[in-house]
Amino acid sequence: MFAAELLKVRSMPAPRLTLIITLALVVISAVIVVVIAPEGSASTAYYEVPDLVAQVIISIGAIVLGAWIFGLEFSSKTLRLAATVQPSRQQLVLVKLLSAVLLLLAYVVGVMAITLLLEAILASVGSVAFPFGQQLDNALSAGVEALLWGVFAFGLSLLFRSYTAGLVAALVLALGVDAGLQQIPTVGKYSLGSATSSLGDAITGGAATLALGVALLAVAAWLIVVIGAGAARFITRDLK
Amino acid sequence: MSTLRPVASSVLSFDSVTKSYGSRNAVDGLGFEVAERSVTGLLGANGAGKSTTMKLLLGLATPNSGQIELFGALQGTAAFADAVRRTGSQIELPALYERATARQNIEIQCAGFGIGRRDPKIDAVLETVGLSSRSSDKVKSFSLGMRQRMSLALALVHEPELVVLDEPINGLDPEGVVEMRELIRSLPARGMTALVSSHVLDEIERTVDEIVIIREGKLIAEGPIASIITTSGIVLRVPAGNGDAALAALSAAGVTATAFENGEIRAETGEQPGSVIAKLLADAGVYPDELRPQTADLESVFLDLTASGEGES
Repeated sequence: MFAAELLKVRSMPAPRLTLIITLALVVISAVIVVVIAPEGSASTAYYEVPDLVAQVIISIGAIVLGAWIFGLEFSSKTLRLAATVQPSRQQLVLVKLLSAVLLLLAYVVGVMAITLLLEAILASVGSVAFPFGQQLDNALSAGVEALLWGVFAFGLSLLFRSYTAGLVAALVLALGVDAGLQQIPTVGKYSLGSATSSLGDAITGGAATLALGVALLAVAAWLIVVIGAGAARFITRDLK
Repeated sequence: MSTLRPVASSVLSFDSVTKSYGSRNAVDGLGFEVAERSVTGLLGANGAGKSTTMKLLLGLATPNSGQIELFGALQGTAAFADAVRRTGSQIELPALYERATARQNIEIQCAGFGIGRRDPKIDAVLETVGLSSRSSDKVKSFSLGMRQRMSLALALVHEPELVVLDEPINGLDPEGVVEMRELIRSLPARGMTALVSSHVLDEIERTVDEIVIIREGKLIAEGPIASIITTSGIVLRVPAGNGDAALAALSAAGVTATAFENGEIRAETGEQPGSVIAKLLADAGVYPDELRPQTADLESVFLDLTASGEGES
């Protein structure tokens, strides 16, 4: 069953396109920096601009891929097919979840590795010192946050039984609503965005809103609630 | 005809199965069996519960009550999931990965059953459904008929023991219909059992051995097609001028007969064999040019059976 999921990733254009668009945007930002050729104190832009672009785009890409793993079956109405190949719904959810995590890991690691390499080359082009350790921490931090948002999007598409609904809901939450949630007194700091940022800060050594343990618990709670509700709905309801 | 008939070796049985959606019973106390290595037709009007029945047997929907047994495994048990993997199915419209090629679609299906990408079964099934030359084309460019063929390939490629096909000839051209019929007819010889639903009764009549007729989710008739399409009388043709004599002889023997303008006489003979009628006519000095059993076609039987209960509470 897992081999079938890998084949879907290989055969469908969505994963390839997501990777290509992500890398293209990072490369375009790098070209722009080279053309502008920042000097003096601004010369760190040689590696900081592509890094910033990668951090933003990788989260969006991870959400697209996370929602796609189950959303593909809903949008192409192939869930009946998948459910007769793997009639145990629990196992089907587990296989899909594992596939999502592995796909997201491959995407995040791949993009951040290429971005780091590109940053190092750009720093060399601009004759500026490249702080590899710091940039690696930034990449790890962004990668972890993106992966968690991708898994969350997986849960939303399962919950809504729709690729589009899961994708849009995750993007709206990640890019807008979560910032609003964080403004709610007392509980706002436990929003998914706040909790994942705190995990990222724990990696980079930045000032985190939540302690590492609390952030881990908050993220786990968000994922368990969304994926659990989606799985319960998927397992107990008839397939159309 | 509506009672559960014992079958020597069945791969599938429904026993008093009910499935409700809200207050409506899509399947209502349904019971039937599918014999091993048979081709069984599941017939019913639109909304009769055919697709729901197929979804129930594949575990895609859960019954409210009753028992479904597939390859000896009861629905709701862990073994039932293994039993479902021994089926191949196509329910309602073909569901395919549009942006993948025909071959990739089959490779994905095969991977779920542990069959490798280079397994000869993939080329063989593409050949069987007539899509070898289009195997590298994306499915989104396929016509409905080609999608039906693809869907059939997905149902057959892992060599299931039970093939479940919902309206398999939808969208096929006449040549495709004949190929599909021959393919379905060949399944028992390959060790498979088939359950096929269709609205095209003429096609079902040519394809299946057994039929199950349902109306509003309830079983109306079940059995070998030959026993359901029963002989209901005799059609005879007599030499010109002998029609009245033939009718009189039949009437005198208590046989209801009707003469038609085309020269045929239809006699309601009940259980009496044709030889008795021939002798009766010969005794009256009438020698028929033609004498044959009058059989109903599936369409008329189906319409009689499904209409007879209309208006019942």
